[in-house]
Amino acid sequence: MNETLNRPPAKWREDFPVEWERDNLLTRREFTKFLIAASGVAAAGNGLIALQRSRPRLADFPRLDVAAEAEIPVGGVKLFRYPAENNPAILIRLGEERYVAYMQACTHLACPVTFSAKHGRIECPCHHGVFEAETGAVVSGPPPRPLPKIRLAVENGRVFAEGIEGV
Amino acid sequence: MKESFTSEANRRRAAAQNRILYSVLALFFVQIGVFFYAWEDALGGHYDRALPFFLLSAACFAANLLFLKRLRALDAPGTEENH
Repeated sequence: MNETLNRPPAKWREDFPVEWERDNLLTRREFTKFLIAASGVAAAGNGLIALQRSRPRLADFPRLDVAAEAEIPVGGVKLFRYPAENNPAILIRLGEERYVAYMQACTHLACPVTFSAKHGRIECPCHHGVFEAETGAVVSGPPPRPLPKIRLAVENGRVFAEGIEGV
Repeated sequence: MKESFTSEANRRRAAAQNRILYSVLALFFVQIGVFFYAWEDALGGHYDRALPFFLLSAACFAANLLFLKRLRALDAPGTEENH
């Protein structure tokens, strides 16, 4: 034991000196208290998210003139905002008389989805979520829910948005 | 000094501290998981589980506060563990 103490310090200790006296060691007790404080922050974060839930919802969706029929070719899309300016939406013309529209935010992490005319489906470029173009149902990937569908009405050659299903 | 450090009471106190630390850590991990689930839901525009998640997280925090109380009791003079 004494021989160990009397030995000269190893060469690497000279190159990488550790000044233990000036080092701020973290005790188990301090670490535990830090974790408890972090636990409070996490609970507060969950509280903030829960508060978002109680924000007033748009009970009555407005009627919005989205596009003229002639504006969109079959297989074409038009992006618009519905029901508010910060809610991107996508209108897709699937056939001569077939239109569908969805909220554009992916139900996974809210990346904007795009319509792939080649595959006839809606795709999210962020995490490769795929939705059915006809119904908005999830085909594959991480999205947990279908895309919210926007109710449409076609009158006098114009397409109107009239509400959102499943909200 | 050496005798005091290795005494049975101090060993028990150290063990109690460890148990508290591991419990707090486990609850904190649960909270992190719950927070990210709630965050993912919120990003997708869904808040159905936000309130239950908040209640669960708050319960974990309350349990952690109880552990903090226990930790302080370990340090208080005159407690059984501190003898």
